[in-house]
Amino acid sequence: MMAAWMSGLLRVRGPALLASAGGVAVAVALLALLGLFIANSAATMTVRAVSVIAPDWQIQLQGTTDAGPTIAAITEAQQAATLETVDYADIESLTANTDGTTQTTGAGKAVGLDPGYHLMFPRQFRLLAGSFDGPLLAQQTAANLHAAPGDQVIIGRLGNSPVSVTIAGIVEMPSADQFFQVVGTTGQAVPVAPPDNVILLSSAKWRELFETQLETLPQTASRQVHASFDHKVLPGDPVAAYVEALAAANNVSARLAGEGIIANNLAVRLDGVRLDALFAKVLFMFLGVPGAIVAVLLTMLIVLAGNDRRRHEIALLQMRGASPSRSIAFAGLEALMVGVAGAAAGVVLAWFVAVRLLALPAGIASLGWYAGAALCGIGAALLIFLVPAIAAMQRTAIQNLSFTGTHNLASPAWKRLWLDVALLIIALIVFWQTSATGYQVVAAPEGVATAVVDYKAYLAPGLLWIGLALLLLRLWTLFMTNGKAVLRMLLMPVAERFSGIVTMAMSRDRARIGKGVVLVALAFSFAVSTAIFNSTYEQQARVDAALTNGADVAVTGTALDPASLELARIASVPGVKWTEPLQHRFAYVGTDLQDLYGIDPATIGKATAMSDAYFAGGNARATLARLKATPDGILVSDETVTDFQLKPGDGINLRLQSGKDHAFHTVPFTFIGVVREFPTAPTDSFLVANASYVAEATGIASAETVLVKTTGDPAAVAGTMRTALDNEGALKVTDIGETARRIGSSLVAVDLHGLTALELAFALPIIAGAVGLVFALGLEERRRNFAILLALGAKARHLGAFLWSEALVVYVTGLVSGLAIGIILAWVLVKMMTDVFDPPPETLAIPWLYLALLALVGLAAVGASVMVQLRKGAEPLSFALRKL
Amino acid sequence: MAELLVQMSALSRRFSLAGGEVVALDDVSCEIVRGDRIAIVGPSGSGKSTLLAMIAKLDEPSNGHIAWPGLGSPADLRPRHIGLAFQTPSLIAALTVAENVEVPLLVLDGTDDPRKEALIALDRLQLAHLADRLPEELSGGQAQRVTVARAMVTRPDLLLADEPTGQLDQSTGQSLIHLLAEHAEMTNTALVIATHDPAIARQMKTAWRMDHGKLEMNRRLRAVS
Repeated sequence: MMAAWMSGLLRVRGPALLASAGGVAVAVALLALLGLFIANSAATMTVRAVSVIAPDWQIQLQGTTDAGPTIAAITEAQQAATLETVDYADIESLTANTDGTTQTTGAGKAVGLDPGYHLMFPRQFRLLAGSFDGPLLAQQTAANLHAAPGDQVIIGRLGNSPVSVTIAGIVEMPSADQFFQVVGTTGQAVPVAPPDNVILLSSAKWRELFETQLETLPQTASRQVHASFDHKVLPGDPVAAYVEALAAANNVSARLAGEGIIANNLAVRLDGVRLDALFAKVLFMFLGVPGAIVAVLLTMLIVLAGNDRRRHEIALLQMRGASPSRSIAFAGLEALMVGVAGAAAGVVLAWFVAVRLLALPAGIASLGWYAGAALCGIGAALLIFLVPAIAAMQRTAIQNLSFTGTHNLASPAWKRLWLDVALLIIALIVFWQTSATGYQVVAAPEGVATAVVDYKAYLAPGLLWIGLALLLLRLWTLFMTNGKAVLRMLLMPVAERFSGIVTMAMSRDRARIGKGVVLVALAFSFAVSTAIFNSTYEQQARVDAALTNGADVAVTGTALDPASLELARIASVPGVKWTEPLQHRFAYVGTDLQDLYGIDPATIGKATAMSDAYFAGGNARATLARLKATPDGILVSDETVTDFQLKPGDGINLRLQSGKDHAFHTVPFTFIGVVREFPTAPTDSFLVANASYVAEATGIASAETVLVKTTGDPAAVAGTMRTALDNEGALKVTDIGETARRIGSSLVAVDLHGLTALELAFALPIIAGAVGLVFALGLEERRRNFAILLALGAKARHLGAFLWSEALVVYVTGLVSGLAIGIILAWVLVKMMTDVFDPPPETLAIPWLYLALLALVGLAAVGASVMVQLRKGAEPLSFALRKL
Repeated sequence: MAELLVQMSALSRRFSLAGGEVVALDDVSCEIVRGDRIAIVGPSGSGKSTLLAMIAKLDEPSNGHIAWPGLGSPADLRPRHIGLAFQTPSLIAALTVAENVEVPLLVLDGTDDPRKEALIALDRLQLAHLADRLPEELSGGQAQRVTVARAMVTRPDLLLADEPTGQLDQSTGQSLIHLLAEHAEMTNTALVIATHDPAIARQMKTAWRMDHGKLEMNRRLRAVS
């Protein structure tokens, strides 16, 4: 019996079943891909986090100077470990005699390194001048001392006589914070500012100069073992990897029995990544789930189109005495056929996209996602088919035969209860609560393995989405009831003389058409919100890259080799639109040494965007104008304002290094505003002043950095520039693209782009399907009406008046509403994901081109659907009339 | 001599079905002239509806020839020259009674106030009070009368009605036929009614009998008495 039913279904309803299965397939594929992306992004983030070439652990020796037992304990516990001994000693000062002047720094650190250290951890040091073969000065120290390779520097030791060494090179220390971290008794790294003055020595030299200090003044010197391990053994999931990294350190700590305290850099890095992993999960859910829901709604629409027929079948079964369970079983069989076929197709589609197109790893962990998505698809199909079937079973056979929901204009319960408004209010309250906590959707308390997602925050966009969809349905009904005159006028160009009855027909059929409008709007909103979120993220990534790199291209030199000396050569490179010298000096604010940027406020904006977000008060133009009008004006950070109780107009004395005697002298400035971020500036405190004033006060007019605005591809311009400046080894040329890749968080740089690209690709067929399948609802009635119209003498253009009117109203209303809902959702999403953005966006980036493409796809789908319907309307009339 | 409206010669219509071929019309030849009152009688499946469909150009013959010499271009027969009332209530569900009757006038595009014309047609059939109702609010008989009003509204040269009284009680049916005949008389319209009802057939000047697709007497008969 069931086999006969199945065979009959396939024979009679093959295309409808196929379309339903297609909808399920899209939903299943989207869900599976969503899961695969989440799993893969987590694994990728872990790999990226642990692949940083820096010590995983810094083990500070306690009560001993012998690193041997510590190294033995680590080797015993962890295989394939890379181990290096590093010594630290406080020093009183560093002094250099250059150009007939003597410069002396404040206190600093002398570090002893094994000769191979910089090869083992190459990212720890970047050689700016000279070579690694001898004592090295940190970049800032070299600037303070005005020292260069070959110069003699005197190290002022604590409790010992000064010694002189010859400098072999100048290095930059990108990870100085971590390198000089204070390892506390709990093993937790204590964040402190790295020392201003640093000299790096070989281990042998350090022992020669400071071994005594290590023994006699142990509080001023220390010995660490830096270790790194094989990360392949770590789990892919960042949370699991974090837990394992903590456990491994605990294991070694136990072996060391108090002789060493471990600063677990690996766990710290994974700690940051597990936040990213949770953000990714939240983001993927926010961006992906609506698509899957729309696909399920599409399936519902297709299935609903056949509900009249199914109801009649149930009525016939009832009349022939079939038991309710038998009738339900028939509906269940149809649901299973659609669900299983759709799920299988969805899994194959997801596998193909994931493995073949996106080359995601096809690991065993993926099976869970495929299976989960397939089960969701089958479950959705069962619900879609069985709920109406069970409802039909509650009616008598006669009721089922005469039942028509098409023109049922009774107000549904949600409308009478104002559920749409209630949902919107709840969404606003939840959103307000989330905003009150600074949009802390994801939190990973430091040192606690369990990270927390504020799942309540999901409610805001979720309820907003549903609330707006229902509100749209309410407004649609309102318009179709009270706005018929307007609609008639609007339809006049399409329906001409028929506009009146077309309007009336649509008004009476508003419930059915309204479903189509909402579906189309939701499909558009899914695509629009995803596209806007993605564009906004990319926009902010570019802003972040521009902020870090300074401009399209930045040429960075040192105090000794300022980039501005090569300004003419830089400007002559093809593709260069503007060159802007940027002074990068150091100034003492009290005892705090801060970065000082000397700019020309009138022209800096020509090289790089001056965002309002950079300045307190949110007005870049006004702030720069104020700086220009105040020659000795200075912009300082919030922290400095608080520390020094500054008010606008206050005088502030800084100490700047003079070009004449290389000593630091007091220079008066006037505080005129607060700067929060600035191109090339660090994230902590810094200062911005007029370059001309700084040049006059220090006697050094040169600028260490040149920012370059390009007309073409920044990477190509940077490449040409590197060649042009080849013999200027101290100048470093960087372009915005490579900086974006370097700083891009693991969250987005790897996976978000892929996911959004995939979602946007899915959005196109979903929109086309939604628009096209609106006609599927009420298909039987439409065919009957067309047969009547044709029998009465109507021509194709008259049928077209009905079809085009309905299609265009559905399309235009759906498009406009979808755009509005999409923009609102994107705004909410961007706000809630504030932590993902750096810096937070001032405005949403709207990808008009993609949105235009969406609109065109929708329009094409409308055109195709109308044409198909018109062709169906042209079937032989005698055949059509037999269906009357 | 009365104007020849429709002329059919050796007309056949065959349908291919799963169980084989069905001959719905078999070698039918006949003519309809202005002012004719014809009843097509015969059992179910005898080909009455198919013959009406041929006359209305809703279907094409498999063989034979049909022409509409008095009705102008074959592409422009409905609703200007031929009005149709179907066997089943064939109203558009989303339109009111008045709007349904208005549809042929809108298709025809020949009147400035189609609503007024529609209301006049409804009034003639005592249906004006139902003008604003939806089809689902009508009884079967009311719906059938509305389809007749819709067929008459364009004042066609030829009015075809397929079992127009099938869903009406005898008295209402008689009244409807009387109205149709009166309308045909006033407008000099030819009236062709397919019916099972001998009483209705008796009211027509001419009766054609159909059986198994054949027009049994290929000539005009006097009304069955």
